[in-house]
Amino acid sequence: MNMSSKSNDQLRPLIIDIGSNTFRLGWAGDDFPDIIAPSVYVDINDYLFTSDVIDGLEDIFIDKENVQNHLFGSDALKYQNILKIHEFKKENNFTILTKFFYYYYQQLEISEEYQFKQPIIIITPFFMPELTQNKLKEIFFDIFGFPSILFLSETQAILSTLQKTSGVVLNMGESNTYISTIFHGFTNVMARDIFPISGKDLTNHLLNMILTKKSSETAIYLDYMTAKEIKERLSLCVLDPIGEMKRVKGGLTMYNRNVNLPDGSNIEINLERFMLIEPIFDPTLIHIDYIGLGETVAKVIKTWDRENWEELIPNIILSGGGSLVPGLDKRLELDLSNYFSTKIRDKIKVTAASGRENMGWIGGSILSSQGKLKKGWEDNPTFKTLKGQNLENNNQNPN
Amino acid sequence: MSVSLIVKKEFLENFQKNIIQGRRLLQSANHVWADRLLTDLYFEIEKTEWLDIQKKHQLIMVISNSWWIYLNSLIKRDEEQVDIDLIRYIDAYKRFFSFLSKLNDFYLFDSFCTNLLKTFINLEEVSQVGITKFINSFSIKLKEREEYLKLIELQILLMFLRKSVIPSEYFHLSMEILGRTIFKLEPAKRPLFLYFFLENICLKYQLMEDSAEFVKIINKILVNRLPGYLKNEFSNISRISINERSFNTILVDLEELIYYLNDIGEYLWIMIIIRNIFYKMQEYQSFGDAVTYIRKYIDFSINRNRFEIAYEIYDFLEDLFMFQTDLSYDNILIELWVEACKKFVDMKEKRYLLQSLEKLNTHLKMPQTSAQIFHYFYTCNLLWKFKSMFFSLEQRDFWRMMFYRALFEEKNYNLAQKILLHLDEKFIKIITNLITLYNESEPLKNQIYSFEDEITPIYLQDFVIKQIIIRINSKGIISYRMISLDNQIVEGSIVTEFWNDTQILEIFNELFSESEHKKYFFNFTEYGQLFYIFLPELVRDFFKSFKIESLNLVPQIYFILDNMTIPFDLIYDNNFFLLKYSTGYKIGEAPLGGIAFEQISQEEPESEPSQNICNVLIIEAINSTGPKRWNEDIKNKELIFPFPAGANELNYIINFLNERDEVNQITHLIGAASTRETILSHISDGAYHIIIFVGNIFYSKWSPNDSFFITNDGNIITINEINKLINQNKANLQPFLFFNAQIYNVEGKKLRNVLRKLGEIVAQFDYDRITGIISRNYPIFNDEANEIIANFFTYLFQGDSQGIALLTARQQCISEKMIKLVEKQFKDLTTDDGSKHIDLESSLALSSYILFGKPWKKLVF
Repeated sequence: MNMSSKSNDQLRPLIIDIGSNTFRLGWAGDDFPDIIAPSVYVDINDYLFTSDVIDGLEDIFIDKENVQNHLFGSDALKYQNILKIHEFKKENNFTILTKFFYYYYQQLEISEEYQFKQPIIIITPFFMPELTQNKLKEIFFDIFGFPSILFLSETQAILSTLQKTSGVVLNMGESNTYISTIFHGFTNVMARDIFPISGKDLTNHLLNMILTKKSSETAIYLDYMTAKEIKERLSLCVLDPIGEMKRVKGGLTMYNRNVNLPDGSNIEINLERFMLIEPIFDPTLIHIDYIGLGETVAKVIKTWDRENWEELIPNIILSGGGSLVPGLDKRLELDLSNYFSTKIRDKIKVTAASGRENMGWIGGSILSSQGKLKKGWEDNPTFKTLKGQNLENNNQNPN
Repeated sequence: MSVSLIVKKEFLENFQKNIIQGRRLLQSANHVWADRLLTDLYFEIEKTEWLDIQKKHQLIMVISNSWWIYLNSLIKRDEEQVDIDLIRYIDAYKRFFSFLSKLNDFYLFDSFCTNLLKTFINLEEVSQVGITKFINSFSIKLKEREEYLKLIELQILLMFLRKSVIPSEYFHLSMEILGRTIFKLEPAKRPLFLYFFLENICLKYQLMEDSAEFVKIINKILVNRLPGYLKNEFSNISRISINERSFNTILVDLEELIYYLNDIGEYLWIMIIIRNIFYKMQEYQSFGDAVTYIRKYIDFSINRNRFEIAYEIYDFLEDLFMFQTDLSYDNILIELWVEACKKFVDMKEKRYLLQSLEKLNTHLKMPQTSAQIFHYFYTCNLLWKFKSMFFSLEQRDFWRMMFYRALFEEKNYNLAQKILLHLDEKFIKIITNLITLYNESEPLKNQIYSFEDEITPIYLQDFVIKQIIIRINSKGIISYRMISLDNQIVEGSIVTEFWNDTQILEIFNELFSESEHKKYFFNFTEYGQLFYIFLPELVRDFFKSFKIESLNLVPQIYFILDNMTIPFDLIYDNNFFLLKYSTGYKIGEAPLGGIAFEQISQEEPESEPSQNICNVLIIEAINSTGPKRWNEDIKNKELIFPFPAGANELNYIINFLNERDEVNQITHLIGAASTRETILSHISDGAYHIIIFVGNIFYSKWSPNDSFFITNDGNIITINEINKLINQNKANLQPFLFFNAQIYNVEGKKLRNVLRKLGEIVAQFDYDRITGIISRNYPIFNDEANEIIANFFTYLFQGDSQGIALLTARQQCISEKMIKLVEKQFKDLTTDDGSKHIDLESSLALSSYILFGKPWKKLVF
């Protein structure tokens, strides 16, 4: 690679997707984000275990003036059983976001002359408040001094991945689940919704189910992180949960899985595997007064005129890490069919593409490489004068 | 509390599994789960009642070592660079201390905390905030445990490190306690006491070269912060100056102070003074003088039951000797702790014995030279004895002791070679030639350290034992009473070693088990030898002094045991004991009147037994007609407790007795006649000299007395009922009982290795109301067994005592077997060499009979 192509490469737009579970950062035009990191951080003085037995060890061992106080992403996760894990997105902690971004930006190994000179594309859910957008601008313009920002709707990005102009995007994240629609490239503020159950609620539900399992002889200890791991590995969605539950109780062993807990003990789970996802179809299971996901999606689609439904229902796209549960697409199709007439019922199609957890970011990358992201950019008003000096002066080391 | 081996094994396997898991979790930085797992494991240990204090301590040490190993693994040393993952390190330390603080024993918390504190003191620069928090949090625990002496030391140490006083709660408490102690002393001694106390802190934590200067500094720091009542006392410290000339005068004062502190109960302060005297003496006189001087306080404190002080002196001496040694095998350190163990054993002080044993174990490193190997195993033999008093012994202890006794005491090279395989693998590399090792260590036997009470009494030299009673009670105390040929009586107890048969019993059980995977590879003869060397030296000496003066006089041994152990008949020194002596057992307590040798009745001339005088009752309970259960495979009912060998046995014995002239009448309660009613009425009202039982006995683990058999009318009869009826029988013929039984548990599972269970069942019988009982310790029903039974009864009818009858029956069986074996050998002999070893190891039947009752008793007609 010659110098000029390298410079071109390093001046390409950067796409950032700040999910509450995962942070993605990479170059527009690439197939995959360079960095996929958990959106977490730890404070090195914030221990899970507090003891009054022996005190003062931190003061003696740690030279507080010369040590970073925070660790980010996977570095932070290494200490998940020692320090308290914080999720900056959920906490709305923009100071940490700044440090977090800077930490991973450094890992892109951009040569010094091109640092902070890339246009920034931020993948945005439809409900991102104005305040948040302003905050992000403040970070990327004022603190880092990037030249321009584009807030790209995630729905648009996802549909573009699948080369569709119309469709319903059902994005299930760790802390948010939202449904939005695009019809021939147009959005409709009425035709979208935030569903009140997301990944973390399901993890808590699973935790409750296991801990209150009556058949267990000994007391089980289980923490949230382990429950989350079990959920990610073993959850599935069945078409007839009530029937399956009866069959399991009647002796069906197909769903039985032994889970080895970190302390070497075992627990057997069976119907929990599919019951954990059920709250999204019946939120009352976890005491949330709301309609089920199928009905919610149907309601959103029905906000559009009747003649448009036929174009929307074959294009229901699942995305986000929470949608990775096997069988969810089929179950949702079945559920949705209850809300549409027999005439169009057959056309319902829920698409669960592989790699859907990164679909938003990838969509952004595709749109950018197709040159479809010309509009909507906001320039940094002070870019020409600053050229990154701002950062040098004030935030040489945001940590 | 007796707990089955299976439960113990399961517990230990679980423990090991959890420890491995805990260590794995720690290594993967999963402190939350590791902490939970290890702490739960600790609580599990504490609540397990059958674990003794030593085992609990050992297991707890395994847990705390897991933390300690992990903590050390976090320090990565790369050339001169030290890299520590501080987040893990700090959290692990916090959790480790939290774990230690939960333990009942404060010793571990204290020592780890103090060691960490010492590393902080050695740091070039230490955060004042940090060290203050550390010492004050340590002080909370010290206050809880009322370790006030250490609390005061730490507060003064903190002052020194900060160069100022923080008027905290602990500072005030320290001054208050110091004041309380000082005001118990006469005014003239107070400054000296204070001076030594302060100086001791400097010496203990190695704070400054010049300890006098340290005292001055502390005095200066304290001066404005001292409570009023102490001001005067502290101001007088400056008058004290110690030098070579003044030391001897001061020493007198100090000695007085030591005695005084002991008298007023403030003995914890004594160690401070002793330690300081040592340093001063070392400086002004010599190291040797100083050591000799402070050693005299060991007996001082032991005699006054101040065990803490004695232990601390040993600990202090260990530190001193450690400085002078490399890290290899060190006789001095080992002997120091052996001495400590001995003192604590003698005083029956468990806590410090345990700690001393631990210390001793750490110093018992791998020996290198022959002299060291001898020293090592000699010590291990003592270690076994020390531990046998209070603690459970382990395989390792057992084999080390056995190796010493086999090689150095009994000079049994073959056995020693086999035992070697069960020792640590490293020994196999070091010990290559046992004969050389023995020869090289022979001259050392007189030079090695020993204790007075270990020396064998000399009186045994000319004492030819005729009869001996050995009693082993449930606490493991072995007592003996012997009578010699010339009617001298010697009796006593073994005080240096207690009975611990766990390991030897395990080998015994394996020897007679049908398991395919055997851990031990001893044959029958070797097992007998093992059992012999396992006995305490004194008992071995007794057996050595047995002499067979004439064939007519066979020495008699009577064992009184609380619990049945391995049949002593199996002991093998040069020949089987069972071929030489007449042996009997009694399980349970000896009667109030004691056991008489019955020498007189033995000597009484007895008339030849007349013929046709003996009545025999044969009871059958082989359950050959029921109970039954349905077997789906054969589509028929089958017996639940089949005993085909029992039927043969029954036929054999009936035929045999029918042909004997001595038998007047045989009543057999067989088949339909064997009902509860008839059996009970025959036992209570009949006049029988011999009662033979053939059948299945169901062992009740809750109440072995009430173990029972099922009669042919479907009822049960307990052994207890039989015992009671025999006692009530008006004929009072003192029947001889013969149990030919298979043992089941009450759940219907056939039991193997029923030795202890049989012992428990027969323990209830009153041996003054019966002649004796013969039973089998494992069920072998073959021709050999029949032959022994026939021979036994023949000799019994001839007027031999039951012990001799059994002995002769065995001897006869063996000799016949030998003849057959030799004949066979000759047939098979094809080589020129002509010599072949004939082994009797397969003759299990020989050792399967046990006589409960006095061996010298005869059938009463």
